[in-house]
Amino acid sequence: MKRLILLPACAAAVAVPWVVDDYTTATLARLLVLGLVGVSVALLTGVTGLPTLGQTAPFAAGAYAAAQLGLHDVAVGPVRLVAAAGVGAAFALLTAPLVVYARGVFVLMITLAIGELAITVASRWKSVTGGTDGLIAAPSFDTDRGRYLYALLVAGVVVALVLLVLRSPAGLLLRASRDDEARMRASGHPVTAYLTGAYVAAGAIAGVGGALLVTTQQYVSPADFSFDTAALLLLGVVIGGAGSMLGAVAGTALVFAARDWFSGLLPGHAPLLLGALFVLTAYLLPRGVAGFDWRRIGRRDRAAKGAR
Amino acid sequence: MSELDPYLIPALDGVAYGLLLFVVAAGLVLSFGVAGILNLAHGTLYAIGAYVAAWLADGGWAAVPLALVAGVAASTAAGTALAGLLTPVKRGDHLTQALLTFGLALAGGSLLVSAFGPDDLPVRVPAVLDRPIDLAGHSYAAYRLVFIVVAAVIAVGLYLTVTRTRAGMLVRAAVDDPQMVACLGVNPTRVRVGVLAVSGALAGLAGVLGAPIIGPGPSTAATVLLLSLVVVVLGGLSSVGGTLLAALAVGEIQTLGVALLPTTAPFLLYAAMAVILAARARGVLRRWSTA
Amino acid sequence: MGDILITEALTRRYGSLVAVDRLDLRVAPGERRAVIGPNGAGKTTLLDLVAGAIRPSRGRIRFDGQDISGYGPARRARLGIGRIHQRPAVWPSLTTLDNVAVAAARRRGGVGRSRRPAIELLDRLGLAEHAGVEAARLSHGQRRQLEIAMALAGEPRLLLLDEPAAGLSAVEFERLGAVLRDLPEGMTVLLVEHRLDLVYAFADVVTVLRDGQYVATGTPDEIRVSHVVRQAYSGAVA
Repeated sequence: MKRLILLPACAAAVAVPWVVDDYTTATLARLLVLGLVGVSVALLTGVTGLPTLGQTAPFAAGAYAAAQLGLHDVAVGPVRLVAAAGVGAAFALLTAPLVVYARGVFVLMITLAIGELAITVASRWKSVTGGTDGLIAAPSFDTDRGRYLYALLVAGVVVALVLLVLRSPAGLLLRASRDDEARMRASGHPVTAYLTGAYVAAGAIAGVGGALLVTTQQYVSPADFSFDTAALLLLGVVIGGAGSMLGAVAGTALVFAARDWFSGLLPGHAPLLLGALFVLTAYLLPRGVAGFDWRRIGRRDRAAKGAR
Repeated sequence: MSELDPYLIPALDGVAYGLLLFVVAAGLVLSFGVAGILNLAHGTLYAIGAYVAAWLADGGWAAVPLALVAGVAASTAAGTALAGLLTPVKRGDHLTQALLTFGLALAGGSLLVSAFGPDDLPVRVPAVLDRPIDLAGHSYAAYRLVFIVVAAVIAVGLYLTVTRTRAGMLVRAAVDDPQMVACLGVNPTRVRVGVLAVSGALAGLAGVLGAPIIGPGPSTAATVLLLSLVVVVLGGLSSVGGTLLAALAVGEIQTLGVALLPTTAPFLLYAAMAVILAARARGVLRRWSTA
Repeated sequence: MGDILITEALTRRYGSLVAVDRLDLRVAPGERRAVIGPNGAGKTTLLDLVAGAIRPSRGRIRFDGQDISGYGPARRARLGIGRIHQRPAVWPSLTTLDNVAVAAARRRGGVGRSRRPAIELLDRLGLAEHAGVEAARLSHGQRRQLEIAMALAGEPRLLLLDEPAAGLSAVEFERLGAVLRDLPEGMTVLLVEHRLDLVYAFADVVTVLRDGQYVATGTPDEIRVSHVVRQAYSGAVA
């Protein structure tokens, strides 16, 4: 049933740049990129049980890495993608010890701090990031359509990979770790190592998202990675159902589209409408459209307590 | 002595800044440690107090108690309303709580801007305090000196409340063992309302008194929230002294640090946080994870 | 010598409460040891200490000659200590089969390789027909059986059972008895249980605890008639 919807959806996604104007195509490309970062948030928040406000950090790391490569005449897309993924993963590996021992609300707070640290670095390290002025990236592809299709291809491949991995035993191990950590340890599983693996993978995905951002937007600045972005990513993931990767792409794209739409609709009052969207989501969709059971995260907290 | 001289003023500013952050962060620690809520609207509660102060203060003495009462009342009411809005959310559902409080912060910030305009508001302090006084050969804003004294008194009051009173002991016990509150048979909704009201009152108090230091404006809420989060991370949750020390350190980094090392000071703040977090990753975070 | 499990002055405090108090236990390989005692005797705390779920305040634990006091629960599990929890702990979003397969994965070198033996285990515990059902939808008794299957799937050398009979129906209780009888000869079992009929039928040796302290150890027959034991249970006032 799901597949029946998926196929025409893919076809529509490929066809859409021939139907809409360039501006819309560029917007859709950017939403797609944010959707991919949303996947990394969903992987941590929904599947692994580490609710995060900090994926903007590897996102930024990947973006600046790709932008710098572009400025140094490394135009080959795959090279930039791999480099961005590597930088995102390395960033995650460095910050993993701060995250993987914490649970629940502490993860939110720590990842928030990590995201803020990244923005501070991004706005101060002018030689690499261009500071708050941002970086204008070397152009790649001649048309918005080309950039969109490139982003679609890359995001599609990454999401497919994530879905494959989640269907493999690795996905079972992550879900089991989220469900009941103490039971995992009692069965001899090194839960911390699994969480670290998921966190690093999520960092790599966000890093790829960063490389795509540079391609689609052709410009990066610290504003792309603000705390608001982190919160909107989390909102989109929750709307999408947290445990669902495709839901995360759709939910994230929807939320950022809503933000753009609101600022056109009621200039100056967009935060009010956006805030209302947050509140409504919290009340109406705490389990997302896919019906994720949030109590599991609370259960996991208690389980973690038992494991000490 | 003369080499240190140029840094006396920034250092004093740092104390004022730090004490201000301490009062705000104390409210955050309370809601985080006792009620388990990451209140992303905490900065907005401060902003409410600051806006009220800017609105009421006319440079006369009579406005001071008026602004204090009105500002604290407004922030307390906002904190209570926040608790009310959080009631339908399951206890322990941190994610929904974070989304809800962030949404309220966004909406609240927007409403404050609609009400008071998009510019940073000036805050008029009583004329007597609105002048420089001589301090070891430097001129220093009288208000800041008075603020340091008042904030120090508040800090001591908080310390005594937490360490010496029954309510304070309960708070400390609850931070150490969150399940204890449940075991005592205290209604968790009432705990949440009480905690967020007090937390709002502290933020409002800081907002009114601190308005001349971190003034009301569109970015106030975010600045205050992030700085007080840094304080909480640095200070940990378990001791008032730790929070105070962390707040003073952050205050000094923001003032003295900027004067001494203009380029690296902003990193210093977050680097300190990263170092502390890393050092604690295996120790304190393990304890944290039990919350 | 040669005891597989040795605790030395094992102590666990919670604030001023001493849940387990200077406990010296020795369990021989292959022994079926039951631990009984009134509520609050420290039985579950003892199992948690042996499994590594909590750290001792004092004292040591040796498993198969090795000092494991500083090891975490996962490492102890990999050494061959398996357990079931007082409240059945399963992974609710996984199917019954996947629960057992994931539980066996470390032992068998992967989830995939664990599926076939997992099916056999589910068969033995009467859960085969629920193999494809999410564990969240199992009844309490079925979850209990499932967690036993999960513990057995790890092929532990020492199995810690925390009140396996609690909340079971009569049929499930019968089946539990059969499962316990059929445990491999060499498997050492530490059983905490309130149902004394099960304890006396199953255990080779029974240890009685009270207030975290050692009271007595003996064969089921000795314990059944022991004056000291009856006092331990009834003499909460004394």
